[in-house]
Amino acid sequence: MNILNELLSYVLLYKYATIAIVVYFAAIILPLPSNAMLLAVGAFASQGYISFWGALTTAVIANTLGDCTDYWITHHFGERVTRILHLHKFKFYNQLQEELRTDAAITVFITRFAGSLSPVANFLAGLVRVPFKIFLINDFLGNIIEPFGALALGYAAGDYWSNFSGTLELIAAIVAVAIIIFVLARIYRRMMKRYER
Amino acid sequence: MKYLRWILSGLIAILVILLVFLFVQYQSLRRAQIISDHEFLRSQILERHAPLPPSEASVVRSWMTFDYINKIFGLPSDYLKTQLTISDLRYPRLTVATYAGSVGIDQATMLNNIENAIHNYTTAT
Repeated sequence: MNILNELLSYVLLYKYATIAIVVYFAAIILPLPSNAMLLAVGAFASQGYISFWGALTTAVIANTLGDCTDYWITHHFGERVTRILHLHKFKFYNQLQEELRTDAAITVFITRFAGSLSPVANFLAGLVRVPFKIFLINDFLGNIIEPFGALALGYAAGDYWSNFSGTLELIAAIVAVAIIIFVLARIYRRMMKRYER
Repeated sequence: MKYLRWILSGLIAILVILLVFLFVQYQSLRRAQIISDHEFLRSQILERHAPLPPSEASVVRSWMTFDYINKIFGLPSDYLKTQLTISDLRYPRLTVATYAGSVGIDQATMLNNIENAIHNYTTAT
């Protein structure tokens, strides 16, 4: 039995508690198939087995708490680790820190859709000490949209949800790559401007 | 800076490849008649919450609970318990895999028995 099937059994047995635990640990960094699970949960909601809005609320809260955990880990221990690894001596690392701090709101918001890369953005946000209020607001807003997408697709697909799990993974990968391109292009453009000046 | 440009070009190439894959998958879903213009969404919305017909009994999987199977096929809560002579106290909050394991039956046989029970219910009613 693969991990998704195991998770789905627990969703059917313990509903929102399972959704909360899986989404929370996936948000921290564990490679759990939370999007595929939410796709199935959307289908369960269309069959009247679970509440769509209840599942969405649970997923948003758990996702935000997971992201905040990442943020606080590097906020408290990150600087010590970068000193040990001597990262602060690298010019690129310092530039990246500066770019992230100046572009915090948009970076935090759009990286919510970067799938398994979003914990990396959370760790970085804590490390460069993005103001917690900015992080929380943008994280929360982004977290509403992402699980809603997966749940809504599952709800629309209904009994055929399993046919769409591959499609959802592809869409998630496309969005993640597009976001990395967007973030890097912004950094690249700003660096170019600075060099020109 | 040069490296950043190379990384960006590589990522754009990956993005294009992924989009091609997505198009191929969309085409295969259309060929399988899972997506057919607006028909799919319309039928899904209209038939929402309606129990599945017995012809769909093959959708039952070992990770499903008996509670869920009852719900999606509109079966009375004790129907499968009686038909399959389930004495486990955890029924219906019990997965097919767990039950099959506890009574020492392989999952394929158990799934087959459940499919037959679903067919029998709809022919009996």
